[in-house]
Amino acid sequence: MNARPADSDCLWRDPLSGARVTYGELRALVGVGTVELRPWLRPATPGEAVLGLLSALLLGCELTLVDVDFSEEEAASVGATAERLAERMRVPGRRFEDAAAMVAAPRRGEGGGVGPDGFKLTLFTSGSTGLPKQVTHGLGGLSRMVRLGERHGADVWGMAYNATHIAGVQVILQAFFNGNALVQLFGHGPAAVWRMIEAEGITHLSATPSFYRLLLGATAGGEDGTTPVEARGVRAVTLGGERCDEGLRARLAARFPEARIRNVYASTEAGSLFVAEGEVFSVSPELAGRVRIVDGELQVAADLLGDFAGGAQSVTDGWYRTGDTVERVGDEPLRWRILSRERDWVNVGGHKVNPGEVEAVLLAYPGVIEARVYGRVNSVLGQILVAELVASPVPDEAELRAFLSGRLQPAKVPRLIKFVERIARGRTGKQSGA
Amino acid sequence: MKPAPTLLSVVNQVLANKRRTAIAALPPETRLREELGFDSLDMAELTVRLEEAFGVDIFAAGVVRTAGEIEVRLPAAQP
Repeated sequence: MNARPADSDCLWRDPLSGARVTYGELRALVGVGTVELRPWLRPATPGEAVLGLLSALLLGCELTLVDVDFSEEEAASVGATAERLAERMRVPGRRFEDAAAMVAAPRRGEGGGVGPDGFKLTLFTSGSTGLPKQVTHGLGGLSRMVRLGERHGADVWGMAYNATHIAGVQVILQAFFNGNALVQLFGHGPAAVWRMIEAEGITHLSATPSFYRLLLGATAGGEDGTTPVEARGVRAVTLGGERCDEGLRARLAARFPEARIRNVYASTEAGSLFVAEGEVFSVSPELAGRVRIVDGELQVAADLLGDFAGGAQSVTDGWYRTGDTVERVGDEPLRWRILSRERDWVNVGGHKVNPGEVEAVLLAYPGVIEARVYGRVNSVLGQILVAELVASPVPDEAELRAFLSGRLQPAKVPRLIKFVERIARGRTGKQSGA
Repeated sequence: MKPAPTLLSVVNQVLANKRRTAIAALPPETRLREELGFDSLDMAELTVRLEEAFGVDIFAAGVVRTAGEIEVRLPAAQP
């Protein structure tokens, strides 16, 4: 694999199912006289999502990518009816001399990649109201964080996001523009993921903190001795979505000793915006002046957002209010630390509790892999704090409570602790609020 | 099978979470705050646990002070 991919080079593969897509297949697909494209796509496999997305990009078409997590009813509620999903659009094909020319085309503005009538991608986000919001991005917003160059030519990406979410789309574009291979990890268990990281030569990982916690929960050495103690081949580990604690960073650094570890601040509304090494985010020169902190809330210029059906909510005087509470660390460039992300504080009898703070303490307890803390309506206190935990082994509840009582004020200790198999998630892959 | 929850078993669960010893009986006149040392967080936890066990919010119809006042708001025990 190199910056000039050949037709036979792999674009996406799932080693567990044996499915794969090559650069040559994509070139053949878009290279015929007339191509039949689906304007609405609810992909049956991640490979189908990769082909659908990149065909629309190369042919300068609009694509609506329907979240594979949607139930039939949710899909219908956003307009993804059976008739619409069966629609076909006939567009002129585009011949590329070779795979390398195809990969370079959207960057040069050919293939309708950037024009107003060209490629547009519509995705759905679970809004704070629970109703899916529709957001449309051009190539500019989606590829803001794409890094190009010779040194990326041999990268192999672990595909650890849902391919119909914005983070998954960004990983696909990063890999495609550099002629890299994507290896399907999303949907596979931790032991299989560790094996694939080694066997498939994965160099780059991008995933949510929850994905990494699950991965780190798999015993080093493994039951069958196949889980590596450390994966030296991985050179970059990126975290996005939820708040990342320093403990997780340290554990990741131990298992991925050669990797650069970064946090990415991203949202379905705006795509990827900021990067942090450590906890402190800063504004890149090209975004200077388009980010501000008002009363502890992070706000970004509204023109950085995609287009919303019915207009964006939370925009005042050209500024989009992220709802994220941050602490200013420095100016020029503006630097900050995220205290809590877009989730409501829980009011427990007049005490304002930040669920993220409580989750961080829970995650520090041995065996706890995932934690979700939320408020539940209560006639005595207004709200009562509830914790859902995924843990292995399941800790003794009394000992866990003693641990929490020693570290948190009484109102911040969850009164109900539930041990669950998995935590219900919003469609963004972030843990949903209550 | 787990035994069906009772007011006594739920009260003991809240006491256990406070690292307090279980009580053997809960006479109707027992005052939760004064005699069992329940604070408002404990009362809130008790209401949520009773709601999960019996489907009834004991505070919905006003403040309760004694075990007996709670008992009359819970559905009658199955024979």
